[in-house]
Amino acid sequence: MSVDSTPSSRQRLGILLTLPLMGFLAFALIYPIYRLGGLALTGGPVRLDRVAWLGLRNSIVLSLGVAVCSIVVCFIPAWVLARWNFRGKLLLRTALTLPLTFSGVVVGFLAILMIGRVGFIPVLSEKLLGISLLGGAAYTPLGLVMAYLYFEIPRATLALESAFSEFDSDLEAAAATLGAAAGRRMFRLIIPMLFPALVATFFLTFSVSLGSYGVALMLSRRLTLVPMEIYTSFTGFLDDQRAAILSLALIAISLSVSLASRLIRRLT
Amino acid sequence: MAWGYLTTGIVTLISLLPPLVAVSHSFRAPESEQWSGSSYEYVMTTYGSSLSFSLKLALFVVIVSLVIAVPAAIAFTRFPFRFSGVIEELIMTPLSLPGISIAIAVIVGYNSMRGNWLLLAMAQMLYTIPYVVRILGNSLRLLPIDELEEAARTLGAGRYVRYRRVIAPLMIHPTVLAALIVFAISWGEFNVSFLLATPTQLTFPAALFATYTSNSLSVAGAATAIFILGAVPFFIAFQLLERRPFEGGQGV
Amino acid sequence: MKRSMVALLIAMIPAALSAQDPVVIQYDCIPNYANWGGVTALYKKVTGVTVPPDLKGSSVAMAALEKEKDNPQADTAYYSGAIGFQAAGKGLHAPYKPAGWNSIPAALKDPNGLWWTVHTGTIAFVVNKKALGSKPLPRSWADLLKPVYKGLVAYDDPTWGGTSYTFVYGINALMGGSKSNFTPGLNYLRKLDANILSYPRESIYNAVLSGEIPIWINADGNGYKMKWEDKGPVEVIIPSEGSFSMALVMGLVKGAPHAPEARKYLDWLLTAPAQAEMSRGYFRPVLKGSMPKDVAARFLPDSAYKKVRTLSLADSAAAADSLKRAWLDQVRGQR
Repeated sequence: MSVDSTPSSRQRLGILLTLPLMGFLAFALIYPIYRLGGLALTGGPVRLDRVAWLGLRNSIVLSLGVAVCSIVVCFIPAWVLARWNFRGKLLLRTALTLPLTFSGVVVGFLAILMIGRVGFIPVLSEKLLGISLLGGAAYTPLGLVMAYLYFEIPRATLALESAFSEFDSDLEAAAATLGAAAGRRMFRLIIPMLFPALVATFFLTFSVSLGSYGVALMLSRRLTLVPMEIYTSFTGFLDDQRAAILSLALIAISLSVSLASRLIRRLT
Repeated sequence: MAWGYLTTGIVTLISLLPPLVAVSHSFRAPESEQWSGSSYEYVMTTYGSSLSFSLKLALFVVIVSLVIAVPAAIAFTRFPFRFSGVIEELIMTPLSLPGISIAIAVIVGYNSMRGNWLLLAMAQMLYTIPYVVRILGNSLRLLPIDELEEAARTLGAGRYVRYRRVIAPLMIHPTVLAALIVFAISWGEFNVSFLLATPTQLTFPAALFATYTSNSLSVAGAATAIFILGAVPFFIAFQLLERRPFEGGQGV
Repeated sequence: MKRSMVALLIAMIPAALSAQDPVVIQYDCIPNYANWGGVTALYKKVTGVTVPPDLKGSSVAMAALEKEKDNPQADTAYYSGAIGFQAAGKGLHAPYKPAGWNSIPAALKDPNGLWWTVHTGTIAFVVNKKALGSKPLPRSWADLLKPVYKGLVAYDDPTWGGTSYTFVYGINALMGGSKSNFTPGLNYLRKLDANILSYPRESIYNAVLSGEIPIWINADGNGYKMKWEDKGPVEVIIPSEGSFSMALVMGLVKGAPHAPEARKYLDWLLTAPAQAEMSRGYFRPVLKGSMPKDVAARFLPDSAYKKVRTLSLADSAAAADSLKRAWLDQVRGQR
């Protein structure tokens, strides 16, 4: 700490520097959420209709599935990025995280492009193998999961990679010299040590999928999903209260998930 | 070892193939727009105004985000006060909240400002400011500023000189990084810009959605290519920049 | 350094805010629906005024107008009849009788000038023959329920688009329902749901043209345009049990930001050249005799249109909210 200013004058400077941010926080975050809450509570008891509950169930199940899949899919690439060094690594990292820049609608569009009824994959597989694979899959729950997965791969990879790069490999080396095989090392040592990071990534992916609106907009045709219910209530039906209640429900779920994630990390 | 590379290769292919397919469509002539030029010309003519709107908006968001967040990051790390930790947590929350919920909240809160692009900018800054705070905060926490400042002070440098010659240069790198990220976020933001879109206030991602739903595949592919073009340079620069302070073993 | 940044900021604001060309904002101005793309391009050529595309469906347009009541952003809106009637009823329009008012039949306009018809269409099957492959073309509403069409049918979400709402209201009427009894129509739609690929909230014109979606229940005009202008492998089929005609209406928004320009635009839309351009979208212009002969010749013969009935705009508007909710609950919200 610099010695030529008193603690309280440093604090005052700190407050001064933070004033614009605090103002922004009040205007941009706190006031809108307050109004959202007010809207949700207008007109008596907070109730949700059957379709809204259906949407919540579908969205949660979908997001859980996507979270699990993304950890499984991204584990190895994240490990490779974090711990190996080779030429072209920058290119690999760029390629893997490029979809980060795509918003949800772009991903939805790409899904239709690849696995729609006349998408790239069915057309190609028809030409090469005679059978059309995954034609029309974009409109099914499977296609939805694949699209969300595409959306999540860069996020999960980055999150896992930063955790893996901090992993202390001395313990692993010690286990290896004591004779533990690679598989055994992986399952009994590495994964338990990485557990907090895996949990954090799981919850991050879950939250992002839950609230992802662009993908749902392009692909959620027959499956009821919460972001779409919020959208239709808000723009088509003028049922702002329903939109507000569902929005708050998503916020509550995301907050509890992030709290749970922190708790677990603290406990392990 | 081999299957490690293989899996990574497969995931890379999955990442890159779809946008490549999209771009490959863009070189065909527009199929249903009765347009004689290329798909790219169609996009630039029809949606050129949303392109410039997005660029101007992103520039504004970068400047204002930095103005708001950089001093705050300095405060959080070097001049903390009683509730600075709580405030820092609070400003980070939009990152873990669902995008649509935030969008609805902002629109509900300021319904009378619907046609005003400042509302859109404010909503985008809810996502950009946390990133600036985080990036600058990390850098300021990691760099050995105290030691450097102390060393300069013992060499006789006054407060102003210490700031200008020691601290400010160290902040350039993370600030540039943060500016790039903010630009990329604003460029790609969809949730709020879609809900607030009017025909004269269309951001490029919203225009992108328009091409997906009302234009032919080649025009949609061209618009996607332009979108990627706008995002990739900053993205690559970010990847490159991120590496620099840790090369050459600069302490920490 | 901060001072120069602030100066830069302030300098940018007018640049960002200035509007270049004169504009008229029309909500629901989908380029490949009813040839709005061609119509607005023609208007720009004739007057230099831009009418930018807007992809809102009728219901979404109405909702947007309602949200913006205190600070209107749009000058005019285009709707399927029932929704336009509803919007006028909600006080969202200002009364205006465009030039050419007298040539519009009384049944197709509001006596006080709150809304009027610009063209009409008929609900039909728009079928991409190539995408169907060897499957037979559906010829009736009953045909459409057959399992052979599983995953091949689509109609727009009726809580978004007015054309689809007209279809949902109409099919209910056709199956024996009424403005207070939705059961027959919803029963049919529930059965149809088994064959539905999706309920898009946007115009799927291009998807149908490319074969991504083979069967689209929408306006006949869109099908004709695909067939004759875009040379797609598309057929238009009027179901044998009958169908319903649909008036497409517009109105001047109350408190329109560019009111004088908007009135000129609305006047122009009822002139012969505008109506002729609209007919290139294969919707029947309200101005008699403005459809070119070659376009008229490409419609299905009048015999196919024998069983097309007109729906009461007032009744369909009155039923709108409850029918849409019932549809959401009983047809869409099944999974």
